[in-house]
Amino acid sequence: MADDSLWPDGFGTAWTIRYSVQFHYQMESRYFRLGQGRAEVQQRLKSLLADPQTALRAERLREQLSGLRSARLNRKDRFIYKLCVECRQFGDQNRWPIECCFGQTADPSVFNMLFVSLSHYSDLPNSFDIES
Amino acid sequence: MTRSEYLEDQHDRTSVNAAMLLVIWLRASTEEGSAGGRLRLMKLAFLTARRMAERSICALNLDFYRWKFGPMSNEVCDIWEQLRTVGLMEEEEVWSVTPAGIDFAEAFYQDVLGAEENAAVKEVIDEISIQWRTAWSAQPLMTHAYELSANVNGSGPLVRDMALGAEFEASPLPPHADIVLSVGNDWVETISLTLNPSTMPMLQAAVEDFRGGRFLVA
Repeated sequence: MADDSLWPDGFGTAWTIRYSVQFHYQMESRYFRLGQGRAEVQQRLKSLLADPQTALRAERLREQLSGLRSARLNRKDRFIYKLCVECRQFGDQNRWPIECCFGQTADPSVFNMLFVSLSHYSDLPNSFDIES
Repeated sequence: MTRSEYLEDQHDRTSVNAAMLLVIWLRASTEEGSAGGRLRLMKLAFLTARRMAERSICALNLDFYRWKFGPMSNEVCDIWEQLRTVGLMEEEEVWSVTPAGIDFAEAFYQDVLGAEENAAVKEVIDEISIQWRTAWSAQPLMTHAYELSANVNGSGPLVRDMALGAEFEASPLPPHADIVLSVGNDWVETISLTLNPSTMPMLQAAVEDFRGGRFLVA
């Protein structure tokens, strides 16, 4: 499991954040433990939680990935997440449903962090080097 | 409104090129779903890029050079591998677009190329696919490509007379292009993630975590 100190309660936001075990395993991986990777994730996540629908070039995904959102962790890696508020708003319960999608009601303040998509483009700089 | 931010990033540009090529190859496929051999697909990519350049359209940014069997692009070879790896195309004796690839290409065609600002781009793709759909062999496409002049403005030697390794003109980029393919960031991100072979396994595992109650709350 990840170092708990990395995940302060809601980063001072109104969101209830739920992390998959998959995401935790990623944060424990060598890729994120080296250098400033994990600290950078924390900083970027805090920025994302300030406005999960627009921050860090957040986008609702299309086609096979509809029902999910992505936001840029850095130039090549993305946070992949699902917002309960959008699940009901856009009728996304059947698109990559998680356990709360099947309930009668959903807490609109829940932010579900699924995983970080790591790019397979080895020619890109392997660093957290952008601000956009 | 032109959404061309993807042009500023090599990774995003390659992703959009892959989606464009998938559409071209699907629409120029036979009714049975075969897209053809590598030679045919390469020439379709060249002729489409060439037609775009003739109309000063920036929509397919590929670098071609003259090789043994006509125009050749290493980027197209990389895109074949990407599309095959993520299951959007498959190669047995010839290439074909898989059912997942058909869904993806059709959605891109309708949503992105169907937008009013991309009408000129769609027109080129429709023209090329209709023109060459019945040409199952690569030979007529090669013959046609060989008889073109090296440069878009009609100057230079014929393609067949170019020296091996000689490069073709690069596709026009803004501000030199009159028309630029407009792609929203939602599609740019979707294409990039779809082409990443780790996306689906990671996504399935993460969703299973939530369904199985394996998550932590902060």
